[in-house]
Amino acid sequence: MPFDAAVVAQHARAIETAPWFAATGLPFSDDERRALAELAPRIARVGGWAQARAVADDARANAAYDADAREAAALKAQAESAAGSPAVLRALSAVVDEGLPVFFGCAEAALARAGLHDEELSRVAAGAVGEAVYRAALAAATAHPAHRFIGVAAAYAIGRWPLARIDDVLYML
Amino acid sequence: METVSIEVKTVAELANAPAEYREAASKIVRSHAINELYGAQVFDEPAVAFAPTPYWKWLTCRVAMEEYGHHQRFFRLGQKMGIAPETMIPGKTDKRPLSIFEFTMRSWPEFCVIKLLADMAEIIQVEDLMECTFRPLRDEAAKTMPEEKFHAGFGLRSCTELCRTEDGRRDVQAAIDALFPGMPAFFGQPRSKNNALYRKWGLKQHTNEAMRADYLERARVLVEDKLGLKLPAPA
Ligand SMILES: [Fe+2]
Ligand SMILES: [Fe+2]
Repeated sequence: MPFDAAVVAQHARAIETAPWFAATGLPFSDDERRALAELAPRIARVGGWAQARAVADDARANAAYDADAREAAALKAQAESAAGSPAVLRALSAVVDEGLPVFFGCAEAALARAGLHDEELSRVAAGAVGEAVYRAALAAATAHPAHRFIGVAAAYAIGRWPLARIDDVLYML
Repeated sequence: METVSIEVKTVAELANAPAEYREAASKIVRSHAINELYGAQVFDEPAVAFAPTPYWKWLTCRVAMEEYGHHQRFFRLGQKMGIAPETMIPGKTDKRPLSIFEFTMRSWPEFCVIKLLADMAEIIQVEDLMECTFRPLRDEAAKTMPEEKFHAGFGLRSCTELCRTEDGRRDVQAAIDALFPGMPAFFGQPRSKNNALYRKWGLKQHTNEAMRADYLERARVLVEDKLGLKLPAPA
């Protein structure tokens, strides 16, 4: 399996311009509904940030989270066996570098639009999107263009926050 | 020891500073670059797996990124100062990271206690740099501080949360007992020659002994007054 650092760099460059969290709290459009339907058998819209916190803090979401973490580790191992650990680390660091100021700023702005200021929840949201973009870049760079990580990151990139998968329902802010 | 009145406003001005000043400033920058990255690698990143729900996993993930960002800040400053990059990366240099990183973290409560007690130690170190005579270092310290304060606050909030149950209290106390005795060593040896040089040039303001005493009192307030637990004796 190859590892294409240029693909990671593309993902890193795209971070600055996406409308992260801009659609949180809004009803789904028809286009969104169609795009999100690919991610899980059922999508449940979460209406606000307080409810989002509760859903993300639900231990029933751990099974799906842990499965994704194992998948991410497997992709990283593939990348490292193709290109060596330092090269993979160097490439993926760009995602963290680019994302550090952008994700937190966008989360804070979205919370502010809802009349809220919450440093912790802004960081949780920023951590979530950071992780999702990192994993999507990893999947794309290891030649898995239809990987579910890419679909999840695309949901973030249209301004949503996929919060938790519990059984066959994906909760989305 | 005599103190020298000096202020170095930019990295370019550093070239005109005495060799002893340049060497001392480099040592501080190198040590921060190494320790910020090593801390993220041995504590924050692995802690994501221990965190109890996605909420705490993502928060931990963000904190790991911020620690990495701190490393990047000191690393970039070091590069501008002409410090060899490989001497600012743990594992590539013979300069060892601080001894607290030898603590083997095994659980979520241990990570919460690390944020509570180790990030407080980091805050005291960074506070000391806020009056540093090398202004670029002072500026990086000022940028780092709000995040370090959040990390220590995260430690307190997560420990407080855990302490709501009997089992959680026991786990947090056990983690404090395991981690805390090694913490005061973070502040270096008493009567340290390096520290004397840093103070001579105003790169640092306080002796290792004073920072250690400040830390012991702040740790006592956190553990005993805020959490209602017991602070063990330092090693
Ligand atoms: Fe830090
Ligand atoms: Fe920190």
